[in-house]
Amino acid sequence: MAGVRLTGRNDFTGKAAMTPSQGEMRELYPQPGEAYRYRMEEREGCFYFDLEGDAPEGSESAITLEIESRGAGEGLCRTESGRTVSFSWVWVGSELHLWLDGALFVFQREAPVAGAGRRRGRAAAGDAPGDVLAPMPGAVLEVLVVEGDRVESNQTVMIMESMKMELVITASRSGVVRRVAVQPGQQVERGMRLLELAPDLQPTNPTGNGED
Amino acid sequence: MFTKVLVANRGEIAVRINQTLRAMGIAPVAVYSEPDAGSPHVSGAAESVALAGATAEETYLDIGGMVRAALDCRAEAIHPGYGFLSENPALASACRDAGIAFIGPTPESMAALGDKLRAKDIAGAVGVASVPSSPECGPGDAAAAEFAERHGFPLMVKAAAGGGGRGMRLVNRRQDLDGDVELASREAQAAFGDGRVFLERYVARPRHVEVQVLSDGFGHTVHLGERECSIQRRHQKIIEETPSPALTPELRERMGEAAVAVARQAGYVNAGTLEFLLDARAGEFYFLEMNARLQVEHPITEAVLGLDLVEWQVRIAAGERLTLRQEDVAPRGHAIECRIYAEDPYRDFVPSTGTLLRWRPPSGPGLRLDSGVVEGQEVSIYYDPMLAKLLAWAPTREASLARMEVALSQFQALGVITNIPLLRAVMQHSQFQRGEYDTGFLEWNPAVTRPAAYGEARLMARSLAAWASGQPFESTLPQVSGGQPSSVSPWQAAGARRLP
Repeated sequence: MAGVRLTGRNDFTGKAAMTPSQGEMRELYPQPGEAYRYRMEEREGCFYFDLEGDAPEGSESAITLEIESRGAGEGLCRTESGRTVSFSWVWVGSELHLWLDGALFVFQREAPVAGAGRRRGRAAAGDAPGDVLAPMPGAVLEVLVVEGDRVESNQTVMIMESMKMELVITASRSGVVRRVAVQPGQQVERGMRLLELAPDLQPTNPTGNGED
Repeated sequence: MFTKVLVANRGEIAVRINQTLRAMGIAPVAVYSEPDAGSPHVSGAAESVALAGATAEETYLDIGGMVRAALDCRAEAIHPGYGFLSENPALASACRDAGIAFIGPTPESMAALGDKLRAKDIAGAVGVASVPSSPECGPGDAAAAEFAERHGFPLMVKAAAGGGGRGMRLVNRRQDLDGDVELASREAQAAFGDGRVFLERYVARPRHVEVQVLSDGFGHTVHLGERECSIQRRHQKIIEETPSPALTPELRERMGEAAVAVARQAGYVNAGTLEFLLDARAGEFYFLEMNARLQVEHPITEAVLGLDLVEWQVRIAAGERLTLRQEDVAPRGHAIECRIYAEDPYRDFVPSTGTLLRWRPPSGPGLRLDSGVVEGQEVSIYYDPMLAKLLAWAPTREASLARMEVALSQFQALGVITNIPLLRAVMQHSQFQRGEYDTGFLEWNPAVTRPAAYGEARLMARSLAAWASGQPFESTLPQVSGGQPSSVSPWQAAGARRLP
């Protein structure tokens, strides 16, 4: 079991391999709520977590949780006070139904980047499949590839800094770098194109069966 | 004894009847509608017969189809379960005509008890009171004024031919009496073509307590104690317990004796239930009606008595004698049942449909689950949204409530919204724990039907939802109709969005 830590910490540095994840969720049930943004970094088996948006009434703005994955769709979660609760989840379309310690919560996943890009007036239609977009606003720290490089799916291609956290940018598929659109130090907005990947003759990830 | 019995029902009750039949060495035959083809009541049967169509009318309510199915597979008897055709004398008659045993009362006593006024008369004949009522009356009648004088206000005016709340009004003040009687009469005339009305005493905030009886075909009748069914939503029970926290031993005995007397008077054979309104403060009870069938909540009686009611139903229908004597009926401990419904307790109990993507019921000492569903099953719009009944037994009421609360907190049902959080909130309610409740409990405690604030749990839920969004979880469950995957990999979906 990989220990997972969810925390409000955001002051670590380092360049260990990390897989950034971020997105926007909206609570639907039992109480419809505001959308909130989350950002997650993995480092040495630990997850560092930021939640944006208003903290639910009667709760702290940040919590530390240890999560133990128990296989498909279920896990155990330990709070700072040492209480261990079990949870499980299923997807119903783009709704995440979460069972947590006897209570049901339903969340709607908001389109994380494409939606933001549209809101910012950046036409997603102009982006070719395989282009690498900025997951959130921030600065480019390092560019790890040059034009003409062959990259594999999930290969780290760039490191960004945002909200005092480092974000590792990976390629969604294999391909050849046609153009690097940014340079170190550059400020980028969410949804902005960072890299262009040339179409690749090799098959893309066969499990990428999004519900859209 | 029978060798093959057709179960003319679906869902948890058909599953439960199949179990007893198998244990008795009888082959159960299932019937099923098109949407129910993959249901557990079918897979648990020895044989099954497909009924063409999806709606209840086309399938589980089709008397001719049921009898034909029984004849075709050479079943010697039909068990109707509850609901559907269980209280329709026409099925019992059709069975008799076809030479098939009907596991229930005779069509004659079923018809008599199905008529509310005749049922009241049967009870009255053996001195069992119904809610006090006047003779038929019209506006300005002396009989109406006299009744109002004797019983005071508020009172009810009801249609003699009534049902479904039509021709029924609550009269709060004397000066409204004539006007309300006239209004009710006109309503009744319009609804039933029969404008006769009568006045009835209004029982404020009553408890709903029922008594189980068993009678054989040789004139032997016993009662099996009571079930308290006062936690209701939309006049439907959701939680039942036995013994009732409201009954004194003296009251329990009186109600039991009354139940046996009414059943005998009706010439009743097989398992039946007498429903009473109980005015706990006054220590008075009033006969409401007799249900000529197995009840949904029968397992709590089984739990405290250690017997199988369906087994007795089958034995009695096969002509055996009821060997249970009244003095043998000695309840032990306390049992409580919660009905798990696919409905949203926070949105006026609106039914919820979908696929049960995760269904992990609890288990443990003193628990019983009567379930009609399995993980991956579609919950359709066609039938009652009750998925299962969870039962807890313990030596004391306090302990069985505690067992139930823990079990509900462990019950994982995902994919459709269920009422489990509401049931749990009732278990945690101090008034319920003290046994001080009546049929108005949910109405008087609206907080129970609102989501809890949750506090830290909500922040944890937000974090875990975000975490779970990043988990590569591929569902192996069947696809829902329309060819869309019932579950998708959120990781891949998110990745596709991030880097389209």
